[in-house]
Amino acid sequence: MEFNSKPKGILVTGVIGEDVHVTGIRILEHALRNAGFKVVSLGIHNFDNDFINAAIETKADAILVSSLAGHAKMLVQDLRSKCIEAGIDAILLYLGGQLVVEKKDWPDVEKMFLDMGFNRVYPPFTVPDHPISDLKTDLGVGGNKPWK
Amino acid sequence: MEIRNKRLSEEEFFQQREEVLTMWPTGKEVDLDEAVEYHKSIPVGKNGALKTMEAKKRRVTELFCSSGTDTIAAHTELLRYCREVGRIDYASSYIDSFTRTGRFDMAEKGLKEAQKSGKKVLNGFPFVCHGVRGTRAVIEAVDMPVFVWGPAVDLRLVMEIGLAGGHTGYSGGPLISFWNYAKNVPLDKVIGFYQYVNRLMGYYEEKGVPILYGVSGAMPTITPPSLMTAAKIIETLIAAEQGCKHILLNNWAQGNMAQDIGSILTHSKLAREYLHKFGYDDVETVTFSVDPTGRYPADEQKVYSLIFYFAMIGVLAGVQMIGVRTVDEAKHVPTKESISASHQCARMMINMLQDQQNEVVNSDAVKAEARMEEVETKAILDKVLEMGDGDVIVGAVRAVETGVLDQSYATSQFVKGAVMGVKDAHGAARYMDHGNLPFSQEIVEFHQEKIAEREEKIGRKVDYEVLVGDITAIGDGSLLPERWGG
Repeated sequence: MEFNSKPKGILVTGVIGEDVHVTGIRILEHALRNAGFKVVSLGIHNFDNDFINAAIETKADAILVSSLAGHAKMLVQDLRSKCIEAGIDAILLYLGGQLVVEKKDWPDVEKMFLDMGFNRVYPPFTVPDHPISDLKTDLGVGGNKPWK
Repeated sequence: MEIRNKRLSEEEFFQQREEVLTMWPTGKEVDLDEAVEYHKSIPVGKNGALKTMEAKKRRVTELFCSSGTDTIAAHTELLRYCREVGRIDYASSYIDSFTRTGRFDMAEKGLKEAQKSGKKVLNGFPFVCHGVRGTRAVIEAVDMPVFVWGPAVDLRLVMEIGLAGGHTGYSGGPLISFWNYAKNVPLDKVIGFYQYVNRLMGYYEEKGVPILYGVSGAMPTITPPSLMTAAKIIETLIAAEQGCKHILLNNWAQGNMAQDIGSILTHSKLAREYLHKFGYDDVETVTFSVDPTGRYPADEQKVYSLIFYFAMIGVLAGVQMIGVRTVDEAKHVPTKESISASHQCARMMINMLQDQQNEVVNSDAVKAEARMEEVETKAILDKVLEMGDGDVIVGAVRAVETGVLDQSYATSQFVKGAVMGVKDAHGAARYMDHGNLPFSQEIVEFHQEKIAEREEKIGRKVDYEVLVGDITAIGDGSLLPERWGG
């Protein structure tokens, strides 16, 4: 679905690592487009530099990383510092999915990734309304365009 | 050069073949004329194409087991056990994922480790590493047909070895491989690889060796069936042009009985219709139904019920072959014992039902689903053909670019992803968003009405939260999430 007016923001989305799980990110992308964002979808099999290059190229406002295989800690720990190195210090970083392999309480998981420099972290089965509402807050864009 | 739906000439095929056989040293073992003679020496009962045709004639439903492990010894033992204890009628050698992605060196490394440790290392059978001789050792040790199984972008060498190695069929195709098994490979390139695979099968057919080719279209996730059936018919037309003569029409069930049975009927009907339209009247078709993809419950007792349920759908629809998932697969890689137990469960169901007169296929609910799917599928296919000026491949490539052919959860980056399905009040998959599909007002309104009925029932709008619940519902214990509990 194409947006007609000016997009609310430009977002880079993708799955990080060797992961092939695609359902979650495809639902999110569909919802983000419907909410008026421009989505630059990288799909599966990306590493941190792929996200950063796409963000620079498209002048993105945020990077939304999905990870479902439990290896997120290894894959995303340098993302914020690499963004700073690349000169996109202010970019929003969101992360969601099945982020860890070990059994760990959610507040601890969330804190670990917030400490790595992510702005928002989401547990599995988060519905798109939450990140969409957070994006509107974080980007200072309002207005609702309901589904359908 | 633009790729077209045209049979590869002998020269084109053999020229490409020279290159294919050098992709790995075992390619040298393949001698087509010798392989044809080898197939003629195999008992007729081990030819999967002939066995499914016989099942169609006798109006029986038989059991297929999706299976595959790494070493010759382990794979042989798995197939023999499932045949003797699970009483399966057909098996597969599921290709491991290194081999499917052309990383034969990694497959070789994994195979060596498996041989040394005696433990399972690879997630399937590494055809290219085993070569023709190794593959034949498996086939000779079991008394049932075995197929090569699993979609992938480029299976040219795998199929050379698999068929020369005594397998009598393959399931997987260019569209399912493009949507669901690749990220950056354009559709025309995938189709090119499959034209070779289909031409190879056609070559065996010409020499008197029937080979079964299974079309799958797309992997469903609450996918309205027309979206799969259109893709499967495109795969069928591509295969028929290259000389495939025995086509297995795969149908993934999703849970709503009327829709699942209706889809099996529509798929067969339209496959025949479009084959006829292009003059491929000598192509035989048989049908296959298989359990849904997606997460299954962890409790084995619940999965037994699902195995029973989906086997029943297949028998009621009159399919020749049923594929079942196993009771423990939500927890770990299925064991030969669990595979056998699961197939015995399905077998008992088949044995109870298949000699009864059943009129379910003639019920109003099934007819309504079948009709709607037919209207939708034809709308898509006719637009594809129009876009290709009559050429189904040219049309398919253009249709993917514009979203006339689309999928919701593709791994490919070349797919629009504008369509989205959701369940209706009865658990059937409907278009929540039909994206750029060339649908009439009648179709669009039908889906809107069905979704409105669900909204009425649950007292809220259908949104992404409802959709996520729909996707995980069966794994959580029911067809629709609003029935959870217990």
